[in-house]
Amino acid sequence: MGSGVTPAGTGPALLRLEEVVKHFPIRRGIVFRREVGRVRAVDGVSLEVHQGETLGLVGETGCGKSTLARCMTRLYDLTSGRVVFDGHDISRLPQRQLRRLRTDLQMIFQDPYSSLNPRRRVGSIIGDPLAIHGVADGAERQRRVQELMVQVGLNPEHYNRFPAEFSGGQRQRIGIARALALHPRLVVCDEPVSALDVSIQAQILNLLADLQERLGLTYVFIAHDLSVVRHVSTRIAVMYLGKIVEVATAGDLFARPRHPYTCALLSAIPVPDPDLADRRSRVLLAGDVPSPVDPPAGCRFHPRCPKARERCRLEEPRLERRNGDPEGHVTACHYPVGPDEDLARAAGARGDGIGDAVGTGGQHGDR
Amino acid sequence: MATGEPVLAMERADLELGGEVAARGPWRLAWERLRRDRAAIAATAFIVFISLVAIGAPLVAHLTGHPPDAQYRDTGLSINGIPVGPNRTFLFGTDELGRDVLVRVAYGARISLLVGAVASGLAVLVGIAVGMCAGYFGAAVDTLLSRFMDVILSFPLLLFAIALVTVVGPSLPLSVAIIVFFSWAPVGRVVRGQVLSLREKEFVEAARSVGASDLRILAVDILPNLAAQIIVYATLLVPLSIVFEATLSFLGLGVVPPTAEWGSMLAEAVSYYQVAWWYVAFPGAALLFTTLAFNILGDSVRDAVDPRGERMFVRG
Repeated sequence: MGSGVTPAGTGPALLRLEEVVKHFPIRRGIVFRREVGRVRAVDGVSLEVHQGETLGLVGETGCGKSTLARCMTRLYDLTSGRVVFDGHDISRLPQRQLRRLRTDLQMIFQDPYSSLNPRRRVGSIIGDPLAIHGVADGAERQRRVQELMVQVGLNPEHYNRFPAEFSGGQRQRIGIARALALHPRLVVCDEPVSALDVSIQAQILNLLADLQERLGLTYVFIAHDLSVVRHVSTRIAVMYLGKIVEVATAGDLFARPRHPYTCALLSAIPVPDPDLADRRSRVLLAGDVPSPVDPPAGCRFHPRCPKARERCRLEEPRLERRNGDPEGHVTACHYPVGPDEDLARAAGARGDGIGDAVGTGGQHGDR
Repeated sequence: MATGEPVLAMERADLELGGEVAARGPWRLAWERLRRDRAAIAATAFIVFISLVAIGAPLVAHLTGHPPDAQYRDTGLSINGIPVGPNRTFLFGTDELGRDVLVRVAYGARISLLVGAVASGLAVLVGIAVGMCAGYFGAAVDTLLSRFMDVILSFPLLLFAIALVTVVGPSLPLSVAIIVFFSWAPVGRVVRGQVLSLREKEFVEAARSVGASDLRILAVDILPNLAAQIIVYATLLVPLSIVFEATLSFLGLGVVPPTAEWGSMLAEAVSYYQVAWWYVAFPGAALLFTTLAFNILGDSVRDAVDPRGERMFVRG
């Protein structure tokens, strides 16, 4: 499967995920805890992150984005699969050796309110990485921390304040400063702006872009908001129920989405022009995301897919390049959406039986 | 890494302008709330007073001219051998052996406060250590330690204490050990519960993502967040320990006579309460007001440090 994920030519792979699987066991019983099921949060993900790019990772809430982020940074142990960072397999490293890796691999967290310790002063929070890795002490540490604060747009005089004295956007800047303290090469941003006001979102996104340019950072940018991801990403990976369903460059994905799920996500982006919004057709998905405890067989999207057929229920589609797509655009779908296909009509024609979607045929010439 | 030192000259100038900024931290706010609380001030005043009495017990003995164990059979007992009531020589009266109750109450404060402070301090330390391990490491460690706490909480403490004292013989260190053994488990439970919720916080994950070790996370990130609860619990544990110690001494399981101690004084006074009210009243009042003061202070501290109390109501 990994062979299908070829680089789009931005650079060598800094981080490579190979069939990464993370299951959380569900246990019952008090004394003798037996496993009664597993949440398949991430179920076989292969991805590459290239040096200097921003890889956007989108998907609905609960699709495993954050779990995947924590697998990348090894905050979670993998159930199986490999994480290769800069040529070194880090998926089985013990915690002690992982600590050295932390200088290169950092994370920005979603909630700026819970990701900062309320009982510690900002200077000590940002200086934490410097203290842990013995980079700087005393006055030198304070100087470095205040430089970082300037770098992310905070007033260095606020060194001794507590997180509660800052606004959400400022708190996220503190989180960014902490992540940058050790000059990392890869920063995994786990929904860094979704807890912020829209006006603040833009400021933080611009700050991240600015820092990337100045410091030569590589980002993995996770979000459920496609318009945000489009703004920042070089390439975008779409995730559904623990699996990657489509990867393409940002422009390509928005111009020619192939997976029906991607089409549905794209059609859900609000359009500011009401006339345009009227003319545009929305792809409405039936039902909810299935439980990751018991994911559907075959293609995981088939119970909600307007184009689902018998084959989708039986055979899991491979994530590979489909007919007519540029190099690096891979889709996990047996019947990818064609360039002029109106998926909204197919959704209407589908009714409720899964195998009954006969009317949608005729456009699968690429298979 | 292509970073260098990306600080511009102008920014550096700003940086030098910026000095220390005094921030009103949560502790500072709690302190100010506490200072405005009249009940807390009164309780603290009493605690300071009784502490001074404890420290100055030899001075009290010197001023009255009555050592704590000296028996005044001529002046301190009536012709019938009954204790004499409060008078100019014996301000708090005497006990059945003609000893000065005032001096003995002052000396008793030493033991009560010492045991209260030492026992509750040790119990809190043990409770924090066990609770943090159980809550943070979870799994088998948690199961083991939690069950151990359950066992201790379900122990028949007085039976255990009586049995142990019978075997080992009564002494002050043994009293402290018994009190610690029975007091740390509730602290451990509270701490475990707190840690259980704290370790799921994103800031703990953030600490791990910058490479902090478990020990560092526990000490730097989790412990400060427990401080409020711990301080409250410690303040409320002091009166419990004092009462517990007095109970042991009352039952003859604590300090050995003739050492002056509130609990053992009360035990002896029980036979004389009909003829010598002062013998019961003064040690009893000392015990009552000391524990009451610590309890009031504990409640006030809780009001002051609980961040939720801040928004719900303002005292003062």
